[in-house]
Amino acid sequence: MKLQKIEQLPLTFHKATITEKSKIKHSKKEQFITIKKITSDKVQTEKFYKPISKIFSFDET
Amino acid sequence: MKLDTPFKLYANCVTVKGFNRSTICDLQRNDVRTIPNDLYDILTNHEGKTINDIKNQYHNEFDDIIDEYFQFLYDNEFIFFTKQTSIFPPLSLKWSDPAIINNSIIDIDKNSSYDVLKVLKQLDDLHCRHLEIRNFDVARVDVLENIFDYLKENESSIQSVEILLPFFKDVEKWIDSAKHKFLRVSFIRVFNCPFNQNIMPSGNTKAYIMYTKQHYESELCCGKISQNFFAANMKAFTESVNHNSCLNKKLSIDKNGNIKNCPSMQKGFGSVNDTQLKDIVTDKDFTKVWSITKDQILVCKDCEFRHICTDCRAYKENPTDEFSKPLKCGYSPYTNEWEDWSINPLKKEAITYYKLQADTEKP
Ligand code: SF4
Ligand code: SF4
Repeated sequence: MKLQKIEQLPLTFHKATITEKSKIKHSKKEQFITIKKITSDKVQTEKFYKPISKIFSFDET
Repeated sequence: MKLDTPFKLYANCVTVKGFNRSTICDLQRNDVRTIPNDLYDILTNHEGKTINDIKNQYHNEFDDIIDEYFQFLYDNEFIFFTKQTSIFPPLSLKWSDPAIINNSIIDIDKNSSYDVLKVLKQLDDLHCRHLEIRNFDVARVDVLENIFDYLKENESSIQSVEILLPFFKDVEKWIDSAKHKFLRVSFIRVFNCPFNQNIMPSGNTKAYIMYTKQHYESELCCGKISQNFFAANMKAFTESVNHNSCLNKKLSIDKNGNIKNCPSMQKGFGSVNDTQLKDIVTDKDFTKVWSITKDQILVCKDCEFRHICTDCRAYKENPTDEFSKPLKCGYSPYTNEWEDWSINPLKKEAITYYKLQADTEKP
């Protein structure tokens, strides 16, 4: 039986040029990579929500 | 997992499709995972359906894969099951901030003679809340202390101050007293150190302190793109969807007292000695870069990280194209590999153009 093609819905913010895939591939464990996760939920309201300049950060030293 | 109850993504979990893979960004938990584009398509096209419905749509050919996808989503609390799907609207991706300027970089070197306190006063009038003060050649402790005193004595709107300075004898002692004296110091970064060390905030101080052996010459060292700088929170994400993720509502003063979007930009908008900041923020030329989004930038628009990533408009792969990819990004959304950007032969021309010293520029 043929796989039904998944139509891509227009998204409000997505304008990337994406190649349609007609088949679902088996996902590999490596595909689910954690990019960022904080271990503490302590909220620091005084801190800015993003880096101001990009010279060096905690993990670099 | 409920196979016969419709599923919904939590509204704070937003998906972003890239060329080869997608991301799911939990903006409340600052948690980002990469997912296959197939899963992105399922989430986009079939949200609100039951897992069994979705399996049927695929003629039950991929049941095991669909189970695996949903187990992942469920285990990580990205989805929930409900029959009342319509009462959970999607998250608004609008962004707003009442401040006219919300962050500022102030560079000071050994020859800087402009009036920093005058700048701070004007930044206050623009409701600026976050400040970064950078010293590259020498630590201008005298100016920093004046700034601390000013902010303490005046009811300043500044909530956080980050400081970058080179190592000097007794720097640790100085930091210890400064961070207690002024509790709004949130980061102190010291370079040229004989050691590497990161110190977390303790007691009633809020300051993160970082010592690094790395050497940073000047403002030319800014503009790095790295996973370390990714910000996956609601404010940063929605700002990136609507505005430039670095320069929006930023106003900076370079070491010579020139008003700029950021100290690394070539274009200046006059000197603080004879120009009022409030006149600059209404200048269309100044605010033009605020609206350049990642969806407009070459390569970035295909990148699954585009709305958690920072941007850089001062150093671009093609210096003459305002929509060119940040020069200091080594990531390719087409190969999904991070490489050392500074040795990429295709970037050589731009590196020479900006007179960057590639050896001090590595991420
Ligand atoms: S535009 Fe680039 S150089 Fe300027 S502050 Fe942003 S990251 Fe740094
Ligand atoms: S291509 Fe590089 S700069 Fe562009 S969004 Fe991706 S990681 Fe960021």
